Order: sequence, then structure tokens, then C-alpha cells
Amino acid sequence: MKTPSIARCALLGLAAVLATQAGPALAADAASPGITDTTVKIGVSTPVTGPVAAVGLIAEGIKLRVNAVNAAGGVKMADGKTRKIELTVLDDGIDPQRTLNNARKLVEQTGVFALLGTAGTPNNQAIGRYLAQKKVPDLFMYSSVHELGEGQEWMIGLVPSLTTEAAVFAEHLKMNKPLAKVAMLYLNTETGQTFLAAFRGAIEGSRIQLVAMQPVTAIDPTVDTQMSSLKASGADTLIIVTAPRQGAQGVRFAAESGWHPATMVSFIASSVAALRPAGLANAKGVITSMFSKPIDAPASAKDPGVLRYLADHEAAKPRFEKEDVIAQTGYLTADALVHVLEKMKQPTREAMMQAAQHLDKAELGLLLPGIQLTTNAPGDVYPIETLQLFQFDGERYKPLGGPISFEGKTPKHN
Amino acid sequence: MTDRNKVASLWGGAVCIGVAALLPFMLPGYLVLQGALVLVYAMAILGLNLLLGFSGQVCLAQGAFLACGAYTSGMLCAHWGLDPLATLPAAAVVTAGIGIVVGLPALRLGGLQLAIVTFGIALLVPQLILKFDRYTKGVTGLSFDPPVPPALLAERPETWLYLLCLAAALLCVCVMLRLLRGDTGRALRALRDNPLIAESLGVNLTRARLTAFAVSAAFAGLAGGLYAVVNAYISPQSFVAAKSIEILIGAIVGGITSISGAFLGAAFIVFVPEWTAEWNPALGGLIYGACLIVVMLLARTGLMGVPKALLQRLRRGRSACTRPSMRRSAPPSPTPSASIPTLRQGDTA
Repeated sequence: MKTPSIARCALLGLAAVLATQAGPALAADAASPGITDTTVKIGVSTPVTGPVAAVGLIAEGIKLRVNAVNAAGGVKMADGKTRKIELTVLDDGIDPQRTLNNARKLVEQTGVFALLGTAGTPNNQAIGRYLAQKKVPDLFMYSSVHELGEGQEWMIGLVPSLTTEAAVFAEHLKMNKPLAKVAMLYLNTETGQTFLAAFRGAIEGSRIQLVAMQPVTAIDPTVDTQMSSLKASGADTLIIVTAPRQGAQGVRFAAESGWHPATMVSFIASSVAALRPAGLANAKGVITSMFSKPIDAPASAKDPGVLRYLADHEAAKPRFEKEDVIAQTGYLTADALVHVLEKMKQPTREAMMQAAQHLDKAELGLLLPGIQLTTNAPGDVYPIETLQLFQFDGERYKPLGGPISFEGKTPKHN
Repeated sequence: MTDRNKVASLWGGAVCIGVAALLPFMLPGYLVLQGALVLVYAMAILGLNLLLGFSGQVCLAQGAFLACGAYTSGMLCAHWGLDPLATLPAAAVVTAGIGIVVGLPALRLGGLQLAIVTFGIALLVPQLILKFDRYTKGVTGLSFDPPVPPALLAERPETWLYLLCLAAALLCVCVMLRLLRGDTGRALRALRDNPLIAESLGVNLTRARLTAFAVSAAFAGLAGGLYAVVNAYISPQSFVAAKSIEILIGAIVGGITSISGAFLGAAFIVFVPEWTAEWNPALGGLIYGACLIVVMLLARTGLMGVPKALLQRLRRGRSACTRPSMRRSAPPSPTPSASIPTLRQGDTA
């Protein structure tokens, strides 16, 4: 008698793995992988599933713009050729290990030219070393911490660094509330800590005091304890740098406990949709910073950039609401990609980084007037360094003064 | 086991090891790393099989043990600058210690209560990693230098990492076989099948249970250490509680009393979710869920049970042709009567 041997079963499994996986491996050309005379392959790794699946809309926004660009014929690049963008989106469920897997797969199997809009600070951290080794651009990553440990020369962010926002908030207080006593509710991660450190640096030498600060983690069910002790500190100004849910909880507590401080909320938590759980009446007076145009504002009604976005949205009917801020950031990311492609004189990855690291006042449709992408590596690797403050009037955000620019002056982290 | 079967399994094992060792030289780099990941999960699943399949202890904390191993290695590398490979034994030993502590409630609790206690551990560990961010660097995660490959493999560091994982997995298999074929294995099986009788026969239940937990955790710890070394970066987002469930799925899909099944189950949890997501990004999770249901309906004793069941059915079919009266009384497949089905199947495959 003969039982099925381990060998046979393993070989069967092995054959299955090989049959489905090894086929399309590495067909790319070594000279300039991922780019031909008519196409350029771009990869995106983003959480489509998992705890922060909402962030996956970044890929939907990118798709929306890329499809529109392709439908119009493609991107005319500086080397004279017009190329269509081939997009591959992979899900990483925000697990950095899967992001690394995806990056390897995109580079080695799909043969992408560059990665775009990779979401999450730890996730970019996880792929930094690999991408630098392979010399593949990690273009316009979706992380507001720009200086990650490794592979700095092959990565560039897009959304403003939190150090910029901290400086803008401090500037506003210096001008309007020079004796402010500030309490801060911050996310206890690189994100929140970066903001906290930058804000401390920014108020140095002024008469503004940071009187209390309380950390929260993204999974804390409530922030009442932290908010109570912030209130007890006697502060008259509250700054919130947390995930959207806790931001709303903080705003609500500040209003309903009778504290009523002047409240400033970081752009990572300040969209109208994010504030809605707090009760929009409670959110009245909240100040935030923005870099993209609020699409429902009266001023945007005739804005060509906003109109183009709305037309693209209408035509494609993607699976997100047109007000979604994350998807809009994705749209912006793809716009920035198109701009960089247009500036590339050679179809090489080096030329792409060169173009991305030396942007000169690039205007994108959804960016607020007066905000442009400017970089000058290695000193200035922050594309957006200008922010405009907005105040919530109970229904929508209204501009509060003009854009505040820190061009070339974004404080370094740590 | 007859001598002929023994020789056949030996040959089978040798062929498997040979193929596994040659694989990285034929595959592209990213697949080699995924292969390494399969081996890592296989080690964790082996540990779980020892607990679940051979000792009847339900443990949902395997992902947490993986995290303990990964962070032991990671912190030793990142803070003390140790060679990543030198940290692996520490990862196994530290996690084994934690395994014994986790196993203590198992002395009094059984079945579902133990499942909840261990799942509590799985929920707790990622939180602890966040709370002790002074050492673990919280959400930011720890990154460190990967081990330097020997000159021969300098061009293919991923192959070197894969071979390391393969060696560790083989070590785990050897330890497992040694345990199961000796007195400990008999004690564990007695503990699983009937603790009362086992005790009256002189089996030290406390020792048997704690040994199972310690060895199981040590496997997972070693796997975790390798997980850290292979990725050269760890963050708590890789060790959410769902990871433990994933490992449990791998164990059950592969067959909880099968050593080769552990590798098959590991390949399943690494590749199948990815394939389904690629097939249709929006419905990936749905298809994966359906896959799980189908696999469990078709292969109740795990994928490794399928060829065995098929052969059995074939043989039965043949004998039924000659003796039709047998047909009606033949049971469809070994259906166990224990509280947790599939716990009482045969031996190692």
C-alpha cells in the first residue's frame, strides 16, 4: 500500500505556485524599466481594505485624474513623446510588511517606472531602503512626515509637512493672540510628535505659552480624560492634531464642557465630514489650514481647476463623493505626477527625481491661489510650504487672511 | 508506520527539502521573499499545530508570540546593534518564556475559555507595543540593517534570507518530530484525548501543557525574529489581532495534525488573499471568504487530508464493487466526536 507522500503534495503545490506566479516575471528593459515611447507604468500601494480603508480613496482620486489624462491622449513629456499612464494599484491594508511586498512586486513583476502616493509614514519607512537600492522613485508619498530614515534621495512627499502647519498656526497666534496659553491634544505617533516639537520651536522667543499637552492613540475610544486635564490647565487656545474621529470628540468636548477655547485643528482632521460627528454648531469658529480649494465654496464656483475636477468626477462616476478630501488629495497627487512627467527631459528615473526635486512654482488645478509646488533638493524637499487659514462658520470654511508662506523655511524635523 | 512507508516519507522529505532549497535560484526576488514569508508563517503554524492538533489546547495568541519574537530581535538589533542572526535564539527563548506564562491559565481553563484568554493576549500585545514606545518606537516602527549575506550570495541577499528561513523551518520540523515520536508526544496526545485517564496513568499534565505552550511559543518567536530580519523593519501594524486568526486559518486549512500541512496552510494565507485581491480589488475579501468556506466544505481535515481521503474513497470504491453490502455502512470521512472537530485525526503526515 502506498500513502500520498509529502513530496507529491508539495510538488503539486509548488507547481501551482510556479504556474500562476512565474509567468510574467521581469519582462522589463534594464535601461529604463517601466517606460516605453507610448506608456509609463506607475504603481500605487494603498490600504483598500483594513482599519483605514478610507485612505484607499487616494488611489481612486489618482485613477480619476489618470483616466481623464489618458482619455485626452496622454502626457506630452519634455522629450517630445506623448505617453499614456498605466496604473497598477495594490492593497496593503496599511501593513508596512505588505507595502514592502507590494513595492517589490510592482518593481520586479509589474515593472513599474515609479511608485506614487504610497500612504502612511511607517509604510514609506518600510520601503525606503528597498526603493533606494533599486533606484525607484517613491513619488509624492501620502505622508505628512517627509524625512524618513532611509532612501531620502529617492522619496518625495506632497501634502505639507506638519512642521509647516505648526509654523503657520504659531504665526497666526503671534499675530492675533500674542499672549495665548495653548493646550494641545496630539496623536502619539511620529505625526503628532513632529507637530508638537515643531510648534515648540516656532513659539520660542514669543510670549505664547504651551501650558498643557495630552497624547492620544488612534484607537482610544474617547478623549474625555485628556480633554478634562487640558481644560483644567486654564489654557485659552486648543490645538488638535489627531485622527479625525478624536478631533471631532475634542471639538465637541471643548464646546459642550463650557470651555470654549479658540480651537485650531490640523488639516489631517478638519474636513467638514470629519467634524460632523462633533455637531456642526459645536465646530463653529474652528480654525484650520488648507492647501486645496474647498470645492463647495462660492469662490470655487467658476474656478477652472475645480470645474475640471467636477467634470472628471461627473464623467467617471467613481466610488467616492465629490467632497471627499482624501480622494481630492489623490487627484492632486496625479496632477503633480502629470506635471513632473511633463518636465522630464529623459525617460529615466533619475530625470523624474530631478524634476520632482526641482519644482518651480508649479500650479495645480485644486491648489489654493497663491500655493504652488516648489522644491530645491537637498535643502527644500517640501513641495507645499504655503498654507491658508480657514475658519468654520457653522456650515462651511471661510478664508481667514491670505496664504502664509514658509517657502524654503520649513523647519527640519527633530 | 511500516518500513516501506518510512522509507517513502524519508525520500519525500528529502525531495521537498531539495526543491525548497533550489526554489530561490529559479524565482524572481520578490517571490523569494514571499517564499521566506511562507516559511516564517509555517513555523508559527507548526507551533500552533503542536498546541491545537496534538495537545488539544486552543491558542489564539500565535500572532502575539510572533510579535514578541519580532520585537525581541528588532530591539536587540536597533538598540544594541547586535548582528540580526545572533538575536534569533534570544527571540525564541524570550518568547518561550512568555509562552509559559500564557500557558499558566491553560492549567485551569480549557476549550473556549482558553481561546478567549489567548485572544485577549493577541489584542493586548499590539497595545503594549504602542504604550512602550520608548523602546519600540510606537507606530513609527523599528528599522535596522539586514544581515550581511556571505560572499557567495552577495548578489542575492533575498536568497540568503530565504535559506535562513528554510534552515530554521527545518529545525522546527526536526524538534517537532522528535517531540511527537517520543514520550512527550504520547503524553500530549493522551492529554488531548482524555486528560483524566492520562493523569491516572501517571502523565504529568502540568508539565505536558506547559511544554506544549513553551515549544509552540518558541517556534512562533523564532518565526517572529526571522520576520523582523527578513523585512529589516517592524511596526505594530503588522501584528494586529487579526494576524493570530490568520495563522489559525493557515493551521486549519493545512490540517492541524499535519507537518507538511503547516507549509501548505502558510502558502495559502500568503498567496490566496493576494490572488483574490488582484483578481478583483473591490471584491477580494469576499472571494477570499468564499474560498475559505469552500476549502472547509471540501477538505474538512485540511488540505493535507484531501489526497488521503481521496485515496481512501478510491480504495473503498474498489472493494465496494466486489462487496456491495459494504457500501452503505462506509462512513464518508473520519468524523470525530470531540468538542472541537478535527482534533482527533491520525498522526503526523
